[in-house]
Amino acid sequence: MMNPIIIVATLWKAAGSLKLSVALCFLTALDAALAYPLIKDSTAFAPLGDVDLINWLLTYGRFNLKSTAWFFVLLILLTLLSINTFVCSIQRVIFLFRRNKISLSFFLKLGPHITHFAVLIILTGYLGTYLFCASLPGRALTPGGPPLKVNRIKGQIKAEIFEPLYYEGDRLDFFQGRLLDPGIYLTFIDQNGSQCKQKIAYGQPAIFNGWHVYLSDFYPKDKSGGMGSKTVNITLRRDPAAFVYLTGLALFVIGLGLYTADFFYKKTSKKDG
Amino acid sequence: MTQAALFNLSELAIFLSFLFSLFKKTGALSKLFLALYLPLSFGYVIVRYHRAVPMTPTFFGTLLSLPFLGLLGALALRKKKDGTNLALHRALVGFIFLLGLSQIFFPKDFYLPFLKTANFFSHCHLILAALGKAYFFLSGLWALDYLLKFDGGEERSPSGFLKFQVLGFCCWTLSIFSGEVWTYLGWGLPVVWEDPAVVTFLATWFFYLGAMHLRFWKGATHQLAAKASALGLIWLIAVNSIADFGPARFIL
Amino acid sequence: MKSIVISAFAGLIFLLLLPRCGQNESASATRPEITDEAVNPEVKEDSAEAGFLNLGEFTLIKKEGYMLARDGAGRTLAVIPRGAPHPPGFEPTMVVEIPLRRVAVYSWFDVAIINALGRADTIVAVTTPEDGWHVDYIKRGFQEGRIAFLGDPGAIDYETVKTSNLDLIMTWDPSIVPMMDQLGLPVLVTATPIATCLSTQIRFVEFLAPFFGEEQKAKDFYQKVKLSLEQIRAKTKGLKKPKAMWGDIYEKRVLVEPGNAWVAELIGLAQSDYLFDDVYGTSCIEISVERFLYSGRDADLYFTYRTAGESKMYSKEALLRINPLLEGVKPLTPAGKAFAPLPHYSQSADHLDELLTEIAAILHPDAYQGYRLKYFLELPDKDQQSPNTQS
Repeated sequence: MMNPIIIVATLWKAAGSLKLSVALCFLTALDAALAYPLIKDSTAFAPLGDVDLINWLLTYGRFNLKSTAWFFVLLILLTLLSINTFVCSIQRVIFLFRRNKISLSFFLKLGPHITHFAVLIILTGYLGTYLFCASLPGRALTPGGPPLKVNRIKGQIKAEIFEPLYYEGDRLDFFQGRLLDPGIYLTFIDQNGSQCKQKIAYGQPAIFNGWHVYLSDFYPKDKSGGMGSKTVNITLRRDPAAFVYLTGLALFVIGLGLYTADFFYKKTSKKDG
Repeated sequence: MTQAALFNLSELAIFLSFLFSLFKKTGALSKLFLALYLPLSFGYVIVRYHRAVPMTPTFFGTLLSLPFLGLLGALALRKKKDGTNLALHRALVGFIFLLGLSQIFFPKDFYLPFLKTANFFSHCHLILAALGKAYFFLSGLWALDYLLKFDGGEERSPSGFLKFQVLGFCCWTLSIFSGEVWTYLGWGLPVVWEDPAVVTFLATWFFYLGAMHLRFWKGATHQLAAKASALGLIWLIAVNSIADFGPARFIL
Repeated sequence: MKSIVISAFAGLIFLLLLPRCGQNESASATRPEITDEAVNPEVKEDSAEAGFLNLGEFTLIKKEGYMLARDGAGRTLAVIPRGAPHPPGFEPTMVVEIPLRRVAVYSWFDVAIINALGRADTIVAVTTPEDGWHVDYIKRGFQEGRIAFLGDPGAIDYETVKTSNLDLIMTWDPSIVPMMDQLGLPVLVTATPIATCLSTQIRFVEFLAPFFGEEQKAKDFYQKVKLSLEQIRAKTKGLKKPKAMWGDIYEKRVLVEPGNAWVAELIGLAQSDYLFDDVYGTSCIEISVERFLYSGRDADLYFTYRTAGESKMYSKEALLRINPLLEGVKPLTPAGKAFAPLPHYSQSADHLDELLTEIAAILHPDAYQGYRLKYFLELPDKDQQSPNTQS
């Protein structure tokens, strides 16, 4: 009968193994690379942002296995990689603190470990988003038309088009007269009747009562108009975990900067030496 | 017309550079044609990019990386003092020529620009990815030289390919992060999973993450890391460049 | 050494590109899973048993006592039996009571699919006026006063909507949703941002069937279409592959059917090469003129979007008069063949098996000798009489 402490210690050491990190990185790379042709002809992933991850896995994921199996594998690999990164980083950071005095070199050496923890934060943020993000896709508004009532956002939304920006250049012949920016302003009316107006464009969401309002599409797309009426399609999302992965991204950039500085600092020191 | 002329001229310049690099006596001429290639190829990408502004051009990543590859490679070779620069120069211009040639026979320039790309972060994503790809290509070529010693002779220093690998990884990471911010602002999600290009970016990120960790193995030599970097050349073409190529069109 | 390395790389790059060289020659081979799925219902039978139906962007999920329907715009509606309590969390206009009795329909395709389900009697309003219809069951509905014209899609008459006492509006235009919300009417968006694939096209009937309580008729319809696909596959197997293109040049714009569209997949399944197989995206996707003309030089067959009879376009000559740029398109010369849909083509999805067979017959006339075109017009080289006299 082995000593449980020895078993835990052995497992702890194995879980933080660098060889395991490398193997998991290459396996994840291979898995994601193989996904390209599988995603290309599949519509199974489109609802992933609107349906929570568990429900997606049990429906779209389960019944489109030919194009989603790689995603199941990816989730397993990322879980293993997260455990490995956590254990490995803890081991190395403890070692670093024991062996080094606080100095510039010490801070530079912290770089890789900051990136490791940042990866964990990013992955936690992703998981939070895909588990808890509330999404109301495919809502449409007619500029100047009746307001959109959505009980969940506790308010109403009205759309107005003020300043459409058309493409007038001559570089793209076929783009002439097309709308580059419909210049849509949304008016939000809360339950007390108070209003606020915000511009919405691709890459420029509006915010109301904790919900982000994204422009999904609009019609018509050019001066000549189209068959249907003027339409603004929006998607409403409330993502409690967005700030987590955005923080992770910022932290990763800091860690990467320190690592790169350390790499070139060492190189210069070697040259000087 | 200007766009096509610039591309064809740049391809001609890099072909001549490769041709003259095959002989020691004409090595200087080869470098001259590489110098000529740079303004032509940058001119071409600027003209094509400018046509799509404020959007980004579509399926342009690989072509955009070539002038960067030429410029960064030329700068790195200028610093090289160990007498191996002509062989590496030959590999570099040959590689650029082949990738450019593939764009003549497999062009993919028929999609209209995508309106959602009219965003600062989308431009950052594309340009940083091209820069990252150029560094990764350089890392692969330098790693091949490290492993095969193109000109024969003494041991090579691993610092060349490692440096490019690190710089490539930085650019690639920043490109992915710019893409994530763009996706967050445009769709409200960190990853648009239905876009296969996103997954291939992640694949390459994990590949180089693995490659960079290789040299920290106990007892590992730089040989292993160099092999991974060299393999990266094929990986980048297969995973991140093939999507930029269209079906065969024999337009000549 | 260096030449070996360079040669090796050259070889590897072209090895990787090799499948692209064959792309035009083996378009059908690049998407075997899609065509198999379209022909073999077994692929998705396990999901149907589990109460989950996913067709492209459309989804039906069975829940305890009701169903969830995700429409083409990504909206999720609750579908409940008449009189059943509304599930929690759904606004009143996001709940549809079935079976439907009175519906307004925008799209010709949806009208035809409802007819295939044997429930054309439920259609009480449309957005095409009476003279725009070429199918008897709708014309009759107008004459009998059962069907009302709602107005043009861009400007529907809300008074008619109110007086029509509707259960549901099926539309491709989501902009009507806020107004319908005010009128308390649920809306089902049946158009999608990405072109419909062959599998979704022939199985869309299964998505609509539960709304009308006609699941068995949907199965029968699907079996009929599946059989026609199997026959097409068997009849065209091993034949020489013609090269086909589907699209049009308008003023400054070129629109084509992408490789992921159902017609492209059908062409691939019928032992033919679709020349825009590499293009991906929405139906009628816009591409550059150069790309269109490049494929035009190579094509044997050309399908135009322009309906014969509507644009006074009954010949290749007439088409070239409208679009001089098309001059380089080989099928518009005497060496090739060009086809235009007849006015009733777009309203005949209830005869999907016949449509598919006709497209196969156009691609392989030798395999379908004596076949008489019903839905398309083969354009003669020179102007002649109206196609209506021919069909």
